[in-house]
Amino acid sequence: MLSQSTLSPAERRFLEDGVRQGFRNDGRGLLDYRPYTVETGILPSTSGSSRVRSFGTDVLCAVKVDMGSPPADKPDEGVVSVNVECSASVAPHGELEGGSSSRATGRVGGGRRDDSGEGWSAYLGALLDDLCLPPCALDKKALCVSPHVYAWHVNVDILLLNAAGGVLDAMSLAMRSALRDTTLPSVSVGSRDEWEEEDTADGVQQSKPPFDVDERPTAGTPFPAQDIPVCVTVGQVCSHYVWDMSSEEESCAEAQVTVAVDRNGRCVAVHKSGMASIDPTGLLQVLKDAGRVGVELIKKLEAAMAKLGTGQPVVRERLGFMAA
Amino acid sequence: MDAATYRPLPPDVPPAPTVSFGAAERSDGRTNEDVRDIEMQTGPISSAVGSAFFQIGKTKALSAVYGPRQSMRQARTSSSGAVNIDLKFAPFAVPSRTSMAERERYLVGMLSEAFESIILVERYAKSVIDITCIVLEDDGGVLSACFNAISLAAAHAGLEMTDIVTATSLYCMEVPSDTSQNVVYLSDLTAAEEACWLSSGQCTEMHVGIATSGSSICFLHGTGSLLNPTCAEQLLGRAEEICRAIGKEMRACLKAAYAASQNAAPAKTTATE
Repeated sequence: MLSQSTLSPAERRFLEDGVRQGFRNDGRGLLDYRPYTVETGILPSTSGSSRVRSFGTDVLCAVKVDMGSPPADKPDEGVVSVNVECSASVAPHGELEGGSSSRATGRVGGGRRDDSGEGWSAYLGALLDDLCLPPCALDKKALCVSPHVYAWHVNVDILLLNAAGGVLDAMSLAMRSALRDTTLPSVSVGSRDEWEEEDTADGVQQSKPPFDVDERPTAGTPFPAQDIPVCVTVGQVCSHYVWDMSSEEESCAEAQVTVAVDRNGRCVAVHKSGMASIDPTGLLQVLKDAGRVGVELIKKLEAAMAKLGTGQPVVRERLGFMAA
Repeated sequence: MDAATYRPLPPDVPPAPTVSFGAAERSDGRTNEDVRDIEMQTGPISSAVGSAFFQIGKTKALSAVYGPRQSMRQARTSSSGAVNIDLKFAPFAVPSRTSMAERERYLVGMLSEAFESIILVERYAKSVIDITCIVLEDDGGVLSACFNAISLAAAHAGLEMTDIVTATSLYCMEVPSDTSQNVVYLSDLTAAEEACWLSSGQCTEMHVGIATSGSSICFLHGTGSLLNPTCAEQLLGRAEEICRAIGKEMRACLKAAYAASQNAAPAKTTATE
């Protein structure tokens, strides 16, 4: 179950009263974010990876790039697919099913009907793709190596290891840091003269030219989009807007608004979820605040990334993969 | 041999979309604010509890509501009911015969999220409401067309809802003018306009569902670079206006359907007597 909390009415009232007065159970103000822990380069076999943790929420993101053909309808673009999986430890025995259990837990994305929560994962993936990878943030043309012939297929796999509020936010942070960690290998495609024309049953068909990959990590280029927006989610609790909710707060939130913000504080996507409706003036305030909160979050993230060393895998002693 | 050479008539090639300033026209003769003609109808599917047809321009959506029906599983897992939305594109809805499965799933996710909050599911404990929606033709604005079709069908089925909620799609984009960057607001893009601007990323889109007796936002999804508070305020203002107008039409449509059924009912009884 994504939000493990089922609050008693008294706990709920305590939390709501606190929010009305601007205090939260963990001592934060309404706009305060919890600290995130970000690690990059933790999966050496991938092109880029990251792990984001924040008070129980734990997200692992891996990016793998493959050379493939560009889509037929957009021959000068690459392909990016976002795939979200909720590990079995998060969603035991089909807790993700049923629309209404999600209502109680106030989860972003609502609940889906199938037992495995696969539908919900797929929806989350599509939502992240839509919110965080809009054309204004990611120019897919930069992922094309040779029009009609070769383009990068970027697979972003996000694994939700543990959920305790702010899942979508953590996933977007993980995606941003993993894509910044990604290097596209240096590839040189053979010249046009090397193409061989093949006679097939359908007529003359050109085979693809050969390409060479420079496998040295230093020869690669960084992922073309360095400013992937991050999601900031705000919940409406008793008509107050609460940022970066814990799972208890999520279960009290009547409605949630997720805003994707880039480095310059520009809002590039907005999505409302949850039960209650919101009024337009409140929404405009949320958009204003989201810019501020998002910029701050990205600044902290970049400072942390700079400390990790840009693009270089983190070398440090660890006891095991999951060791904190 | 003639049969083998049959070709369907070439479709009318739409003129390239243009953005207009001021009073000039869009490629289909509308101004920037104009919404295409809307047609709605209740009860096209007699086997359903409630059904509706919604058409905006050439985009057509057909929705049917079945239930609430009893569900032991729902009773076990939750204290309230569930809304089960199924959305399909007709195979002929889009020009190219590509698989729409991914898009269908995404739209289902959006619409389920919205209607689980609009239909008062806590009043339907232990039961499931099945809603189907078929897109007969996609000429832009599918999300809001399906939303409106489902909303009307749910109202026609007599489901308890927070309000009559209608949706619309608004767009804005930056157009360089002589003096400065000029933001142009557009309502209700056609498929050709969507293909021209949306995929290139220069256009900001916002799909809004508004409860028409108040003015609260029940559904909101937007992407694009112009979602700053100023533009969002403009977009929301326009959305409210359009949603209210559609809501008014929906109410009139429902009233007419109700009146027709009241008139038809006595006539039926006299016939059986």
